[in-house]
Amino acid sequence: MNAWRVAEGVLVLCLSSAAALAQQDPAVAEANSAFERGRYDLAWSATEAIASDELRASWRFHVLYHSGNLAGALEEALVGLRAAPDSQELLQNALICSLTLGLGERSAQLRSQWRGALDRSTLLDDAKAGWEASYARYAPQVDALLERDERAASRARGARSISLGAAAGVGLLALFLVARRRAHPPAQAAG
Amino acid sequence: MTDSAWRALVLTVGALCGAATMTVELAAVRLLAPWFGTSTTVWTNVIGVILLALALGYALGSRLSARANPARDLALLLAGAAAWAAWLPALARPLCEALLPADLALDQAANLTAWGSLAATLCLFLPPAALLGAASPLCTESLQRSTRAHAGSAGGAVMCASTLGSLVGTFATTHLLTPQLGLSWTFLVAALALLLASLALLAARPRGLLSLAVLGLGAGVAAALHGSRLERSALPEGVRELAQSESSYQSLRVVEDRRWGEPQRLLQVNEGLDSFQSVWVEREGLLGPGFYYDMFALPAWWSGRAGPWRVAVIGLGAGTAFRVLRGASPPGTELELSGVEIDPEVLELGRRWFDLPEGGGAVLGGVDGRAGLRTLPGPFELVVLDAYQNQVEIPAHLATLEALREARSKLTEGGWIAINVGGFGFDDPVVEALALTLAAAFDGECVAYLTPRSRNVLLYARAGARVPTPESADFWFEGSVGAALLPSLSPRPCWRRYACTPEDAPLRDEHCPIEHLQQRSLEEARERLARR
Repeated sequence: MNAWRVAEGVLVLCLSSAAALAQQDPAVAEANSAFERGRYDLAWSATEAIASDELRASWRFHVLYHSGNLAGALEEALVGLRAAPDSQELLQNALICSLTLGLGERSAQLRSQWRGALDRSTLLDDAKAGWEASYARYAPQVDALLERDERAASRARGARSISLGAAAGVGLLALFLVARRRAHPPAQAAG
Repeated sequence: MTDSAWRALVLTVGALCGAATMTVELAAVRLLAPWFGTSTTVWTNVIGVILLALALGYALGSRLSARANPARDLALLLAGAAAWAAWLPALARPLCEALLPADLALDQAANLTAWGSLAATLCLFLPPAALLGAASPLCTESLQRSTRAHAGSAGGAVMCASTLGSLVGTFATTHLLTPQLGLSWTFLVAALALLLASLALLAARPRGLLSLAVLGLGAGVAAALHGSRLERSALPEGVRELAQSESSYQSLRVVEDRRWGEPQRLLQVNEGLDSFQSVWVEREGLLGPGFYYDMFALPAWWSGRAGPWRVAVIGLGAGTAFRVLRGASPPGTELELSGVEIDPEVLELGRRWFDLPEGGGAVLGGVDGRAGLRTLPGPFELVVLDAYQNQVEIPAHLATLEALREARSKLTEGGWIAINVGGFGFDDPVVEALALTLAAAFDGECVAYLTPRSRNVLLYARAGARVPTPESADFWFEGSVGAALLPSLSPRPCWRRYACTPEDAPLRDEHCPIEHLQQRSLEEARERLARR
């Protein structure tokens, strides 16, 4: 739940940018209107008519994100990135979702893709600086996530080694104790 | 010492060893629970390791029994087992924290739960259990030599005493020691019993060097009485503990979280990972996104009628569902709330810390969900199934076609059932299996809604009527509850209608692999998310 609260503030920014694009496509306007009325179902349906793959994915992302369906929102962002691999907004949103869901490898791949997109970007300095700031905010979190994944994998390997080694050793020791011929005959003295 | 007195002493020692073995085994799962939970996997690991340790102990005992003085070896082994058992509460935290990083979510920890709990069990519990396993052959040998009995006769007597001791240890641990004394003292009592047995043997057959060794180990037990405690995990800043207790079923802790503004109280079970059982905020009504309890309010609104609304909550916990329903039901609804909670201690904590309301219906504590539902006087407009065991598993006997048909028989015509399922989307194996089983029990179909901002799915079905979906007008209703809940449920990817076909095999009492499905759900969750 904590991660959800962290991510929430950022997405508002992206929604306002998507709303600005509503003026360019009637389907976007329809989706926006339905979304504002709380009819996310109609907003979702309206996205089907949005001509731009990137814009459609962006709107679908927003509908699902605001529905609390983070896995679905990530899926839509990834669909959009197939059509527009350098979309700053989709890259940011996908990375936020991926981080929140704790997907280390996916986050690393998105970070790398975003870095490349920023380096190739022809945006004006102000806009680019804004995305760079956002990148700088989220990129280190990927390292923390990867580190955590690696730590978990390493502990799992350690636990497996301890378990298999100890269990096999103990079993063999028991067999050895039972099978080994006694060095002395049983004593008869009172116990 | 006369032969008969010696015989009585040896058999008493055998009984104490049996009791201590069961105490260590049963309390072992509770000791590991804050890190690894109490799932079937953990239980299997603990039982398996104890059996392995006993095998080693029997082999060791068979070797030692050939030596000149088996009673001397027995006294030493018992003192060693006592010292080890006494320090288990203190050893558990550092070892378990080394094996399982603290910041993992449930799905991320799934793989570590199996191997980590096995490694921890081997390190913590194998040594004392092996030492205790060696006691039986040594007791038998001592008895046979002193009474000149047949091997079978001596062995049979020792096994009888040991098994009776195990029986006492089993019941005492679950119903007396753990609930009354807590986990640390349960181990300490077992250690003291073993030390007493060791000292009694020593007193009967004193030996110089041996006495020193036993007394040294005894000093270790004495030190443990002061220093060996299971330390609870540190709470983050802004979170404080209000209460904690050990029930016959689980470790319970009530914490208050003030980090997000409005104070929340959470009932944590076994402190396990990131899960909690009940939640409280000051006002009754909806709790907000991320809390599946809010979804229990929907059927009354969807039904669209005032008047009596009788609800049975199976897995009541500390009463969160009651408080949500009281604050978020339609105007004119006459609520009559009944509930079943298997752990009476949870109800006690609910009354003290969660304002568990009197609902006008029966509240059964200490009763299993399925038996409890059968007992509750129906019919009900709504049955809520919110029962979990081992923190993550829906109890198998509540997830079957037969159980859901029983629930249906308690409903009025058009009555509802709402089931909370922990799962990662509609393709999750647990969600899918339970949804198809529910559909089979309710006219062939049910509807699943993703709970916003959580990993819970709510399944709804009705007796003789259809569950509304966003495509139909009866899904939508006016008011703050509708505005808060309906938009998030309405996009097409957020709900699914399940229809069962004759080819689908619902979960049945005869075959309900829900624990296996749950394990798959956790293990595959990250893979499924990453694959998207």
